[in-house]
Amino acid sequence: MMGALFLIGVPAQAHHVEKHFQVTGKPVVTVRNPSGNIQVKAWNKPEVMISMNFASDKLQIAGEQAGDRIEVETQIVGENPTSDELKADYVVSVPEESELQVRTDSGDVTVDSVHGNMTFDTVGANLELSDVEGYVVIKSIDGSLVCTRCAGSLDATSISGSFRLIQPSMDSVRIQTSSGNILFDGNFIRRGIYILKNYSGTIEVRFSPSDSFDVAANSLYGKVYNEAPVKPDVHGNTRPPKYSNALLFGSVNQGNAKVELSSFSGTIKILKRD
Amino acid sequence: MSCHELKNILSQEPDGAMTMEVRKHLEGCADCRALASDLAAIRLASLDLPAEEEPHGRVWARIRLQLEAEGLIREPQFEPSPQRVALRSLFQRPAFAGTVLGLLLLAAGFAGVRSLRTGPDITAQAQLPTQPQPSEEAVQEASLNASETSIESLQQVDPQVQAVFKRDFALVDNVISMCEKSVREQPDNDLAREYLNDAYQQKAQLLAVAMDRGTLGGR
Amino acid sequence: MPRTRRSETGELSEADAIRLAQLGDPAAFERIYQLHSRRVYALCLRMVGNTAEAEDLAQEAFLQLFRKIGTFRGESAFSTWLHRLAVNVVLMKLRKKSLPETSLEEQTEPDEEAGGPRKDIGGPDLLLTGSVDRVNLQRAIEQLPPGYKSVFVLHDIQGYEHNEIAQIMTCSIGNSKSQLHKARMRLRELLQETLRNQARQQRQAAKGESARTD
Repeated sequence: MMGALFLIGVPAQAHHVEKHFQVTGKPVVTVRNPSGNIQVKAWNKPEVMISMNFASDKLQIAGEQAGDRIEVETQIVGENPTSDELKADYVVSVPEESELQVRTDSGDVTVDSVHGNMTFDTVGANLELSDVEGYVVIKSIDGSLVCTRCAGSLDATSISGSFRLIQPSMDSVRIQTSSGNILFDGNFIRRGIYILKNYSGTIEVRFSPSDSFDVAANSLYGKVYNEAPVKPDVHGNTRPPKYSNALLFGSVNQGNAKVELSSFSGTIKILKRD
Repeated sequence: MSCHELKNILSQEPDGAMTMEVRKHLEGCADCRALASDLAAIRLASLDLPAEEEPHGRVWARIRLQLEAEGLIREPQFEPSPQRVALRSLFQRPAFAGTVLGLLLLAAGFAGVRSLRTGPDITAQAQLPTQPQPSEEAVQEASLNASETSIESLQQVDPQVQAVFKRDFALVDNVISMCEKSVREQPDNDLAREYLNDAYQQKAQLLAVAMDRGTLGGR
Repeated sequence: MPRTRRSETGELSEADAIRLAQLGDPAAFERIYQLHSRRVYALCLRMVGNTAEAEDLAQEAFLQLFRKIGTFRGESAFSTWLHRLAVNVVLMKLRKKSLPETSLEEQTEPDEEAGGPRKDIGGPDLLLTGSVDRVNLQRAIEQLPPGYKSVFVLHDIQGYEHNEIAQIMTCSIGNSKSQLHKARMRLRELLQETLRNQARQQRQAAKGESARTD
């Protein structure tokens, strides 16, 4: 457990707490909040500000700063809290260059314009990332991810979570979910690797005529709809044994990126971008 | 000796003994003295960072779950296992964990997934017990029952989270049974086996997260 | 089956645990984990700086070990083999985080001449003596390029000799020594910069305060 530098207990009527942390370099900010919304945005102060709102006296917030590492955690102190009593909402302002680690289980998480590696560990929270840049790791059970104009790379595993990547410029994307839908509407960067896999549901990928990628797409019991001009693999690759029954295997243009789409019984769509 | 030469010596023997030449140079060169002093300060500080750290108990718990999910664990025949006290204490409800995972193993054997395991053929070396083959319905039902027991016995603090787990346990169980069916129908299909393996891993992951969150206050 | 040797407390020896693990004995896996997890986890933790990632990496290292344990024939020390696996797992993860176009070589070769103290406008160079604490050092270590970081952690923190590091990292002994030296030089730069930043902040804070008291 954390040794807390401060423990914000809850005086009877207090529902709002604000804490400022001065930092010198690129901070690593960890937030653990089981239930409630977490909003992270960037500013240009060398400071991390965390502002918390919560409605019950069964919670307390513990925080610790060690150099540029800041950790904040919502702790349950009362007995048998109801769903509402568990909620705490956070608004976190961080320097543009920051690393984030968020652990939460329900609620909405939004991150805007932060550059740094990020890890999200959640049961069912919904994540909205926009204009972030870094290595993003997501481990979820349920919940959705919407990622808009994000750069860097993404590693995501889920069971029923869904994923939408809009205008990403990422050079490595690995998403594995069981029953969630996956949408990828963005560029395939040269030498990029894009692996999208689910058990059921839809995997949809959009491309432009100038995109250049190798593609291997297979759905064991489902359908593949393809609008891309796929020709035989231009690198001289033969189908790997795993894809011997693959419905689609080849190259679009020069095959400069690698796209693998795989589903057990879901539908795979490779559609032209309007 | 020049500063450059001293740096070369350091590069070749970072912890070499101090020679007369080096000592003389340091006496006359403030920059190199500062360097030597700084390097010593770094060395000293690094002694404060421990060479060993105790990982949280959940690390072993997850490894153990994954080993079982991948079928790498076989109960030994020749000697009783020593008391797995450490392992037991990590599991909140040992009964259900053993039940579910035991069933996963049985089911794996039933679906003929043993060949998925890379490595030496262990059947040649150890006599495996002959298990009575359970019927498919029995495995499915028992597995489902085990999931229900596990969720109920692991109280989640947040009812919303509880609901997610309940739904997703059912989902993953369904995926496993569909994948098993697929492997039976297409035993030569590598992709079908891969999906079955993935499904076991997802079940193990789900169990691990449920256990992790099941304690009061998380962590 | 020959009887296995156990210590007074009934624990398996490493050799027996390896043999039994190759046959799938769960207690043997656990014994191997017991014997090595603290060092492996510490290695991961020093390399990535946070417990969540370190736990994942340690978990992955042991899983890879247990999957491959059937192929271990005793040609090298078991712990060397395990550490090589662990270092590779960590390096893979660190490389994934950076852009694919940058080669490891580029990352591990900043200008040697830059190893000297940089002149900063507005402040003399500060000696590190007495100012390097655990937190600053850990943060600086995290900023090292992966190659330097590995050698530094293995040698200066975990106490491996250069010949052992050469086996773990599959490099030459000379290479291990020069990487260690470069790591320490780079750490020096990073720590000096931290000190300069702190000193600058203190000066600004002092200025701010004196302005307010006017």
